Amino acid sequence: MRSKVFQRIIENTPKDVDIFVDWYADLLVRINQLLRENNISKKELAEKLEKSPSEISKWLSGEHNFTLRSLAKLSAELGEPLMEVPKRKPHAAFISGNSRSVHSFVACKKFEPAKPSKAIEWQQASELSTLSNVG
Amino acid sequence: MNTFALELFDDQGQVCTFYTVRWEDASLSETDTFFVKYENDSTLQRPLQELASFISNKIGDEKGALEDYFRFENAAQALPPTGTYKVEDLSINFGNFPLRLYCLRISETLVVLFNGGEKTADTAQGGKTSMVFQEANSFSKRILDALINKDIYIAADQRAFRSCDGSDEILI
Repeated sequence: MRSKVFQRIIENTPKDVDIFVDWYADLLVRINQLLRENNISKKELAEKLEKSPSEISKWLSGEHNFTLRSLAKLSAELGEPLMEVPKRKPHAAFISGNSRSVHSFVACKKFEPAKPSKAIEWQQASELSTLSNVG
Repeated sequence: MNTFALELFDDQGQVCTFYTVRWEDASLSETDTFFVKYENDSTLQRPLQELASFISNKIGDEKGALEDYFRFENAAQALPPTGTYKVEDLSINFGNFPLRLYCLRISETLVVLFNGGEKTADTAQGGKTSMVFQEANSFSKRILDALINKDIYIAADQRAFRSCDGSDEILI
């Protein structure tokens, strides 16, 4: 069940808005997570970035939008990537004469949940034929 | 004291369910009133869509109500059995965001949304949202009291409220 008003607003929401929210919300969690993991306070981060603590608070509490430069600085200080842009390596192959085709390949790895190993079905010794176990 | 209904707002997401409150004599819930108020506002339409996407996709369907997404706005109220509940400002914690939507986050899987408004002051207690903030606190207190008094309880899957008779129609 979903409120009809809410459903209407979601249906009218452009795709780029969804993408923006997706990126921003993930960035926010990522930055806070790295600060916690590395035990860095916002004050310490401000000192490292040579910014005032209030400016850092504004970054992390929503008063300022992130810019690519601010993200790069944050990433450098935190020592971990904050965003990743998919990279495609162009591959060109000559078909014949002067024509050629250019392909792009994207490497991806699909993670499948590990399959449980085959369980051994134990049998009563009395059920076993001695010959059936040979080999 | 006026009675209000605690009713479902959105349970379509895989991770988190949203409830809202509606005065018994009102046709719209408090959260619907908030969305209708800004739906056709040329300046605030986009932030409103961002908030809707944030609620339904990011919180509801993907991550749940993580603490990093909320701005705590009021004195915490300690309650048994699961600790501390807070009235929080679901203002999307980013991007010079011009709207506030108040909520009571029960857990990462259960949130009650109230009304909200435009941010015209640094704190929830000031500016245009002051009145709805007071009202949000009042709704929260009554919901939490109902939980303490066992008039309502949280379902075993942590995704729904139930009244003491097991019904999902809840009047407080």
